[in-house]
Amino acid sequence: MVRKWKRLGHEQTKTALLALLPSFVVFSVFTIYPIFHSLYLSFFNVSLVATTKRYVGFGNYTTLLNNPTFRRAITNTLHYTMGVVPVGIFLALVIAVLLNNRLRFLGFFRSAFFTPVITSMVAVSLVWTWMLEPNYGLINSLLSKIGITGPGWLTDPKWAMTSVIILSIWKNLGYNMVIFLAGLQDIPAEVYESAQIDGATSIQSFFRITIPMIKPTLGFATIMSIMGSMKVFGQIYVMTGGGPANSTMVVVYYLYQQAFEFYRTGYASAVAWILFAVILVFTIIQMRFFRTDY
Amino acid sequence: MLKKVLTLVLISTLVLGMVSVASAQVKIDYWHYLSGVNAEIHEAKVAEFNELHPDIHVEVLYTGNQFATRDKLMTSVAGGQPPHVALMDQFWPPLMVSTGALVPIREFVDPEVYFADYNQISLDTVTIDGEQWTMPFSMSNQILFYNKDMFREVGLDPEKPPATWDELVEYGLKLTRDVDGDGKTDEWGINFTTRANVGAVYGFITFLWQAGGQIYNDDFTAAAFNNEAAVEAVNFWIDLAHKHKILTLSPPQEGFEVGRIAMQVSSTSSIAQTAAKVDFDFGVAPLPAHKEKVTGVGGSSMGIFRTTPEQEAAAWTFVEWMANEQNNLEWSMATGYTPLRKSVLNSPEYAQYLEENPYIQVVIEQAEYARARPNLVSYADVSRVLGIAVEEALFANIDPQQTLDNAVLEANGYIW
Amino acid sequence: MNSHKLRTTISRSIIYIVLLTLAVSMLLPFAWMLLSSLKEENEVFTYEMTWMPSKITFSGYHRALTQQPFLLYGLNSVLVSVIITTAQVVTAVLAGYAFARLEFPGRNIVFMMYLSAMMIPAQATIIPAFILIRKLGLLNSYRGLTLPFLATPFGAFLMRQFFLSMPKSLEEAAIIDGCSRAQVLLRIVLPLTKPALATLGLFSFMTAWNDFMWPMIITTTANMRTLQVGLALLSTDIYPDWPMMMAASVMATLPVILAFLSAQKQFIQSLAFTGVKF
Repeated sequence: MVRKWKRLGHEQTKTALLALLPSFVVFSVFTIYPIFHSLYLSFFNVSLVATTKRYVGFGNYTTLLNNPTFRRAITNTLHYTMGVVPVGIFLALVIAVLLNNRLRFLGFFRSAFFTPVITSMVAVSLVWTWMLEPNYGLINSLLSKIGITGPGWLTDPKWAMTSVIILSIWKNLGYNMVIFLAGLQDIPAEVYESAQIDGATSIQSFFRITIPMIKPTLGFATIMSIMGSMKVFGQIYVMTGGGPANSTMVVVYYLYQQAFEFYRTGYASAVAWILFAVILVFTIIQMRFFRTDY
Repeated sequence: MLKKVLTLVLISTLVLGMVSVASAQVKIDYWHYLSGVNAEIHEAKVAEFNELHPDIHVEVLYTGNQFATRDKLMTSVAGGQPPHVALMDQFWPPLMVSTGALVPIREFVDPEVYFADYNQISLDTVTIDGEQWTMPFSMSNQILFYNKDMFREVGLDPEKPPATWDELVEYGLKLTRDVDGDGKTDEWGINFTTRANVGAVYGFITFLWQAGGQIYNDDFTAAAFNNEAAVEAVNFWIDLAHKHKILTLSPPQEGFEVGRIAMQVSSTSSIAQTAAKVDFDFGVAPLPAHKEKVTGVGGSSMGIFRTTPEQEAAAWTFVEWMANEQNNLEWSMATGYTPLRKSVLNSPEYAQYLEENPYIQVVIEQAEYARARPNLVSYADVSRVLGIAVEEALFANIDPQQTLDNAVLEANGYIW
Repeated sequence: MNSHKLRTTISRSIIYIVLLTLAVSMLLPFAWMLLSSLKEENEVFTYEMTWMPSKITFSGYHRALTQQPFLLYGLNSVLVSVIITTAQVVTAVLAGYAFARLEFPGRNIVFMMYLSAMMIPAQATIIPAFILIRKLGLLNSYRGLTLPFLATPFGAFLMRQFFLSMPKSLEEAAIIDGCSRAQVLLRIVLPLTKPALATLGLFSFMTAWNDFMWPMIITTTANMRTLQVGLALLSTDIYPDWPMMMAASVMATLPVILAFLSAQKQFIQSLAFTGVKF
């Protein structure tokens, strides 16, 4: 009997290896190996187009941290994150709370808020670029109807980042809303009912019941949004190209430009590793504090 | 029976013959970034080449605008799969040369002899460290477009375009108007590209030269665009936008073409396209001058990439044919680009064309004091840094000295 | 009607009004995209903005399909997305099943590896991945476009969770009856996981369809470009043809929107269930 189980166990191992092989190969080759290769490259002065390679130690990292454009990219990425995350989370929470009232047409509302999430970033960025066009665009035309001269949304360095932030909040609102909605539905209705009997207003129960009860969800969504914000790229590529005057230059766009427009492979790999390290820190925070049970 | 056999033999010989002809044909991939009418003319020329050369087939491909094409070209060179021939903007060849992907012209002909017929300025645009790496294909310079009808409306003489920076401001102030009386400006005096990521620096360098400034120092060992002249040039842009308010930083799309912008710094390569598009009295003038009278030269050349000797030879046949006398003449007359060859410039056909197209006369006059940007590997980076610095000072309306000083420091990091 | 009921009715009406306003503004960009795509090329440049096209025209679509090879881009997108989706579903089912049901040494360690791989941002690996694809001579090819995406740790994770939530008893009975693992998986497990497969499939398709950075850097010629790359390149035009660009955007977004609407309930629920960001 024991031998039979052993045999079975051995077979299971073989089956398991076979079943895991395809996915294991793919992401060893395209994720695990590249992340280490990228670390290796970051210590070299190497170009994507030339064949020479020179060891520079931490040279790329020191150059990088002293480069004004990269510093600008870091502050801009933080600016973007500070703009997108708090407002985006707050709005999504409000909408989720409103939707959590056993409403009719829930499906319609949910779809309306979720559609931007599933559509392509490139396409919606184009649509927004057109809406924000200063002379013929929808937004400025609507503003001028109420007597306001709209700014050059994407052409003015003072407004470009704000424009990108608005688009990004709009695009991701539905995602966080769905997460919150799921969290809210886990709160038993009796809790609210008893609060109501005690005379609590809906605003009071929002702060005293809803917020504490969905804290884990809130934390999870916040961390995920922060990590997403650090990787912002598509909307920058389409809407501003990092401009005007570097006002929307962000870390991943800088990485892309250095790697695939100026071919500084080693230098760009150093950017990649700084990005990876920061994201790793947030991942660890997320796993520590908001770990859902795997 | 015999007849049948003979027919069969005949047919099979024919078929075989065709097959061997087909296999002897060399296929050449050619990438370009031209658009609109110019692309149509250009691609028709390629088709004509294919007709005339049954042993070569050129597969022509539009690879996106200049920025997209440059990136694609570099990626393909990096991947070891470049096209056989590509049309390149003036500042790409230095970078391409540094990768070793290009075949220099001297491998096909003796440049001394071959380029004897070419203007010096057109050779300047393709010469890197004394060697010609690509074939000059088209050359343009910067020029002032203006709307004569709008000049008349505000009482300006339509035959007397502004000749100096001061006149440009004076005219611009008259031409900038609030037409419908809603308190907002809807017609502007002057326009040019001010966004760094769509090439504003090309235009700015000309203003820099006009003010007496330079991009690099004399021996090209450091950037020099933070002296008094450079500050004056940036301040001139800032004044146009913020003090005189005759330049809008968010220009309406095709504002000149629809009559909302009175004067525009443009390229001579778009004369034909613009003239065909507008329905007002269209004028072309030399750029207004300041301390120096100068205009910037832009242009493109055709590069041949290292492949097989057979393909390189076929590529040369194609490139040489596209740039030959007859084709350079036709291309210049169809588009407004400046002829590259002295023989074309002096030909009776071109003289007649100039007579019929007074706009182009201006271009040729300007070519005398046109200046080419330096052909250095660092140029792409240095000019990008400069462009962003100018954009920053212009949009933020700040004293440019500090911004330019920082930019020179950053730019020097790319020069060695 | 008592005052309490009245209050409830009023507050509910307010909620509806607020939500409706918000929902409409969420959908506004899509409406603007569609309406602009039906206008004449120069009709968009008017002093006074108009909502409706003065005359509905499909010339924007025509230009997108003739002046630009958007039909070809679309075919490439379909092909690439279908290959990736199929492969991801297959590899995810296999890996997820192994993690959920098979005992083998080092299972937890391997699973943790999969999970950690999920945290590595694609942007951090894109340069070596590009160099690798180039070394393999696969730039500008369908293989280059699809290979890195044939399996994702996320898919394995998602399927594992679904398998774990299913009762084991049926499978055990089948194994005692002498079925092989492959038979168990194909005949018993898979039919029960159809909803999960649909979710994973839709998710993979959507991600592949919308992906842009990778196809952007590894395609060099128009005949290999996907829709997103074609669209992104349009954005670099100095004088954009807006109706044509909006028409192209409609074509690039419609398939995903339709796929989503057909399975939205399912999709949103499992998204909340896994809580994974994309």
